[in-house]
Amino acid sequence: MRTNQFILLIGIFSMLFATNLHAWAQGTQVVEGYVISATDKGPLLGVSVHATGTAVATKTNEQGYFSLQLTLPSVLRFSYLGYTTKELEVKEVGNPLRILLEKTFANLDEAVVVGYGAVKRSSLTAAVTKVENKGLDEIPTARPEVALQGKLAGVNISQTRNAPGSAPIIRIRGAGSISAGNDPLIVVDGFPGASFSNINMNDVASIEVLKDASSAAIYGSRAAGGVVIVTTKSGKQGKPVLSVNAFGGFSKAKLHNDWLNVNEYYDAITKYQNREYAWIGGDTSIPVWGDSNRPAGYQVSPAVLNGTDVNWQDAVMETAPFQNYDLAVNGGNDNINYYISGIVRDQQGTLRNTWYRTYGARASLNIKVNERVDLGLMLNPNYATSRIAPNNMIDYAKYPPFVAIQNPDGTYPTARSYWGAAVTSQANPMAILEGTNYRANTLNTIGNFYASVKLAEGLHIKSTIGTNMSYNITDRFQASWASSSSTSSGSAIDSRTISLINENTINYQKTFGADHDFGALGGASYQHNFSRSMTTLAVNGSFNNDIIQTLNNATINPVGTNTLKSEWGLVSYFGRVNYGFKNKYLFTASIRTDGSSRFGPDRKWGWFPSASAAWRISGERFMENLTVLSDLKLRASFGTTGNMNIGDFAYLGTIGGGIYTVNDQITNWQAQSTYGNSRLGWEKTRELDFGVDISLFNNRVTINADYYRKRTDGLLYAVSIPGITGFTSSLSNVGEVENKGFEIELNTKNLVGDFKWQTSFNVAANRNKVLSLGGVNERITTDGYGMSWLLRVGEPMFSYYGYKQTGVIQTAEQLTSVPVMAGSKLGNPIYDDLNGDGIINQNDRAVLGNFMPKATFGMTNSFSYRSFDLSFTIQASVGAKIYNFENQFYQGSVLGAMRQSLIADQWWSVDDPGDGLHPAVSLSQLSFNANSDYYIEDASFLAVRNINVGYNFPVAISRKIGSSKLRLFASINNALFLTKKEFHGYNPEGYTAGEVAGINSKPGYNIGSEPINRVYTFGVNLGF
Amino acid sequence: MNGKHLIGYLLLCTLTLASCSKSFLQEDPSTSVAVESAISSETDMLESVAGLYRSLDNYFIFGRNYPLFGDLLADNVYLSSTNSSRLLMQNNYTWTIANTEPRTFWSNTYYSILQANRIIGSNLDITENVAQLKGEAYALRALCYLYLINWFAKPYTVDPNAAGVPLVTVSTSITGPLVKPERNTVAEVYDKMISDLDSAFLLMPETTPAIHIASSNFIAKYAAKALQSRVFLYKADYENARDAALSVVQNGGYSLTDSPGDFAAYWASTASRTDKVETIFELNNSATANNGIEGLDFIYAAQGHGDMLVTDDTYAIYQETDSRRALIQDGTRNGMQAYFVNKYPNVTATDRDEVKMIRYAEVLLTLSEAYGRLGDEANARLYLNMVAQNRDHSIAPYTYSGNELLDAIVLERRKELAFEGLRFFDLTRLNLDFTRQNMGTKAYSYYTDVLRTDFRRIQPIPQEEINANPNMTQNAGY
Repeated sequence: MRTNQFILLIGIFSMLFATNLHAWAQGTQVVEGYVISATDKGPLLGVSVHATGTAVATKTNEQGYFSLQLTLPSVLRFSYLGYTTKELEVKEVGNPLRILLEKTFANLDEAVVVGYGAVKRSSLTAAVTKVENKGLDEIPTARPEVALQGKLAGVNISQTRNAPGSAPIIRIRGAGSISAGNDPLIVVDGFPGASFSNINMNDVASIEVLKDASSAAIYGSRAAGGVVIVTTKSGKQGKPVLSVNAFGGFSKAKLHNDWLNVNEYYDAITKYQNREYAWIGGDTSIPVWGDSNRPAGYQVSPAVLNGTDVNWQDAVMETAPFQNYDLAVNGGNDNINYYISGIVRDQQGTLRNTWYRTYGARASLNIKVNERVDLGLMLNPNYATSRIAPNNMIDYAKYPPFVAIQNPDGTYPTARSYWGAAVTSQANPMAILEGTNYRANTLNTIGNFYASVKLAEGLHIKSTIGTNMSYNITDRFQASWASSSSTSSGSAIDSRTISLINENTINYQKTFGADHDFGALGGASYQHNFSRSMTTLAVNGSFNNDIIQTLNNATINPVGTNTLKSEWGLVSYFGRVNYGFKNKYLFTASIRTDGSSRFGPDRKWGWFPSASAAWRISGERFMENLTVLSDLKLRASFGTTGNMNIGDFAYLGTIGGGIYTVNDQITNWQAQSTYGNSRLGWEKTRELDFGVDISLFNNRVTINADYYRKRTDGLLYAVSIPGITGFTSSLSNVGEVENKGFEIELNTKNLVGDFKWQTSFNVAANRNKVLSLGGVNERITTDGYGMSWLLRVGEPMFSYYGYKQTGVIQTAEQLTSVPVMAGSKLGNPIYDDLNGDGIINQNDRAVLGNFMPKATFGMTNSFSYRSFDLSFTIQASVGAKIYNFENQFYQGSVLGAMRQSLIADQWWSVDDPGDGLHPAVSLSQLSFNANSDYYIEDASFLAVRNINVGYNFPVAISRKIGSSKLRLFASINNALFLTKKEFHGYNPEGYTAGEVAGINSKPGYNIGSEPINRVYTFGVNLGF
Repeated sequence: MNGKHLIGYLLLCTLTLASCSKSFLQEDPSTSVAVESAISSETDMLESVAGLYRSLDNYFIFGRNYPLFGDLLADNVYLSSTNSSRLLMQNNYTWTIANTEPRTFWSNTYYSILQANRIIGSNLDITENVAQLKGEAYALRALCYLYLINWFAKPYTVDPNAAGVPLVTVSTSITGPLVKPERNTVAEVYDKMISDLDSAFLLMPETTPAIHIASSNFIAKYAAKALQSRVFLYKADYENARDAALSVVQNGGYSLTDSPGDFAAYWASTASRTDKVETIFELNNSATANNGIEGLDFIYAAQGHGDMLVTDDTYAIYQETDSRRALIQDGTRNGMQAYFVNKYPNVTATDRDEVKMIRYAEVLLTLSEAYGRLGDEANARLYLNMVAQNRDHSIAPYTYSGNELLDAIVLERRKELAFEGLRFFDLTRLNLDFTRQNMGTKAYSYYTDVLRTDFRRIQPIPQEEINANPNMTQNAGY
């Protein structure tokens, strides 16, 4: 027993500290040389030099120098990332060798990070897209995702809200889940479940997107939405290199320019009020003001024409500056390398009193203890602070033009202080923005520590301990004068989430003989997540003054003040094998099993297998003569992924409660609030993918194309259960949704001389279809004014469902001769009687489109000529529809500001009937228009997302300021943004009711998403 | 370096970590309690009973629709032509299986039954407090079944063997056996209600323990007995109805108000009663928890929606000297004369009107009717006059006999209990045809003659329930 342990210890120590024994081999000679780049004749550091068929290998140093003990003759293979591998036969020892390596155009040998490892691009069997950080950090965005817009086929990144710092929605190959979320899993340096919000683009080395299930399946139960792997920079061997990026600029919002001025507004509102009055049978010849025979609600106050004419949209928006400074140092030697960086970013919002600031730091250290042992540490704290607008854009822009921005005494007038109760009761927009202090602060720290041991040639074990700690504080105060109800209010929310993970992997990689590449991975992962939040709410109106805005100045409201805690745990075991024969026939298979605390005792564990294969046809002998073709690979894959985002204790029947007063005593009550389902299990996505990778003309043209079919079944959503249980629905696993489509990425190097021109183009189309709803054929969610969102077997999920307008009821005769909706009047729409039964009722509703784009396009062109470089990115989206319900506010519904394009041509009266296509629109008639295609608009767009121009100063000049690199650049974001003429909103991707998040989702519903900003940037990149 | 040792070392690593995996997967919620461990103390039970009372006040059931339907579907109330678009189909007798109201009758009442089942099924030791609380849960479960059986099934007096509603008496889980039951018969449901009320009466101590002070907001021992007298009356079991009602009268300690002034003040107040005057049980609608614009008071009161108006016929049954006539307000609606219900006048206050569930006068009239049906006309007249003369001090005692006496008792019930949701049950248990007055242009629409053959005297089983439970059968006509 004791001896055994001793031997074990000796074994471990010898394994850790064993040195290379090959040096003592007999009959060898020293071969030395230099490896240099064929392009700039500079030395190449770290080139792997390997005597084929032996274990003899080394790497070049900073001078590009290497030396090896060799038995001659032998063949040396020189391989280096980004360069064409070269082989050279050495027969005798002479002068030091001089080896020139050519840069590759498309990096077939570049490493692509996949889950728990990396593979050569040429060996990939799955659909993985990689974006390297080449200038992405020069695009001024508060969030890194935005810089990726239009760059990845099948990855739709849409900015539905445009407040500073708002997170865009990322959808990889469509949405398949109704209730459990469709966000991809973000893995940052191996930490699954991280967020983009604490990543600074300047620290990013590359971003890989695992699009198909065969590559994502290694992340099992969280990968159904795809996986985005972010790899951050680490130090490179050599002297310290300092790089500084400094840039700044300003943002300008793209606004509407068709607002009515106050005189036009007076005329329009008079027509509006007369029309309303006529509908209730009023006599419109009664003067609009001052005659008590006309009810107050139908009058128009002459106070409108008081000499004030405010365009509220323009009043609340401003040109907003921003600035960004980041600094990074990296370096290292044979045993240690480091990367440290810091960033400060300050971005003002184009809406007054909004901003977003981040302060981040990052340190990464890798230590090579000896030939066998590597240790590393990474720490990345990030602090973000922001001031948020309390209301949607609509509440600022819709305010009527006759209200002054501010009174001479500094107070803020309201619409009702001019006109009385007929107009909107809302507070003055400037008062809302000035008098509401709504702040969000986040401190997020990611850290990890790893140790890796090389057990034998090709065999490594690695253990990682990681943590992600997030602290959030949200403070909100609204002064009484900023509130529509004239009462102060306030709240404070503190929350923290701590996630710990331990991952252990064992990795084996070996080439047997010349033809058999074999790799295997095994691992275990344990993750535990704790969260706690505390909400404190003030009693409305209880603040003693506006000066002290913390809640100690108010009475605490027990209803709404609480602390919440939750936690979940995930245990996973996974494995993967890959085999390649002659690098022509490639196979990969993986399996993962996850156990999650979120699921019922009967369904705790899920299995997520995958398999993929590829055939590199170009490696076959019969293809050898086709010199045009550099590479041709066919891929096929299948995999299963899961979704566990259902809330921590959804399988349990739980008790909720509250308070009420009985006999003047405050009493707690509790009652069962959820039914529970011990059989609740995983939502599973099975995906098929067929792909082809083609390289032409010595890799100057590469094409990657994929077709996929993704089916998500066992959907987690609330199904009907018998009411006798006390509940009408219970979370269950039923239903199935399909996404299928294709993606093409085309990269070309059009010109490669002094004047270089590269183009990256991508196109993707996705079709979503509900296949099953667990026994029912359809489910309809209807909004208060009649628009419905449809889940129906055979249709895309959450399609708009409503009536089709065909015209306007112009004559009393039409009211009886044409099928109309019950209660219709002159000016109301004529609807399409779809089933032709002569009655307009809910059976005449039709599918009216969907919030999802039918196809997306992206194109990036990069040019360089000597010291100049220029690039621009174009993105287009086709076929998405938006339910632009905000339009009604700009049509006079609360007698607010109006837009010419929205009120033109509509029916006002028999004498002023418009063009016969635009029905009367007003608040009282909303249920006649909101339930139809009237507010559904085509949200297709084409945008020049970014133009970036740079100039690299010659070294002679940059040296004068002591730098090795000096580049000036200028860029414009959203330089051009084209939308359809029928689109009236600020942002075609903008909607306010969220995306798909449960059975009652209303994706595409917009009331007041913020305008898009055009951003002008000027900056400098410095290297030392 | 030996390969075996290496493997041993790796296994060691993996096993150490694997041993903690079990605890990773067994989390307990920190802020909500799993159902199994919910009632583990008297305080838990007290809060659960409070949750049961709160659930009853939902406006889809006892908070509005149950008491409102009892008059709207009967002959007391109609929907004004000027209305807030609520309950149009109920006024017109055109509701269907897809209608929200029967669906929510069903699901919300069973939700309350679930809460009662959890309390009844808890295994706390029986102390005086636990006995009181469990007794209340038994009584409230019976109350829920009484409304379910009378809205969703034929009256007992018509067919006791007709399909009733499923009896669910234990807390269920989705995998359990009770999820898809068949409908029990009407008689089985009545038996269960009677036994639940017996359990309630036996469990509850003679003196209400301090955990629930004697308040009209809580079910007390004799409130359970009073409710049982109603169950027996609906079952036409007049001997037991008489005994239960007499027990309340003799032992309950309840009384009527003394004067018309006190009677008016009683209806104007939003406070619960601790003096056992008039109210035996009512639902709390305090400032912290009420139904807002969906409350029973709001749909009746002229200052609220004022949608539901009193028919002229109903107004006419009250003498001018009857203090109950003051509970109907003569006003105008959209330019036309209209009678508003004024039993729940506090819609503009923060503390809103209680919903009356059982009042002493009902028990007296049940006692009177039971005596009358059993042939003891002297006692029948005694208790009839006790109510009638209290409400109208100017009238002479009634001297009716035979059918005239029975009709007078039923009419007195209508006068006394109007707008409290019980009229419809009197009409159905006695299997009477009835006429809902056509109020012409004042009404949204009308549906006058409700014959005893009309299938809409019973609500439809919700379509969702039929879809989700293949063992469920629909009521005839739907």
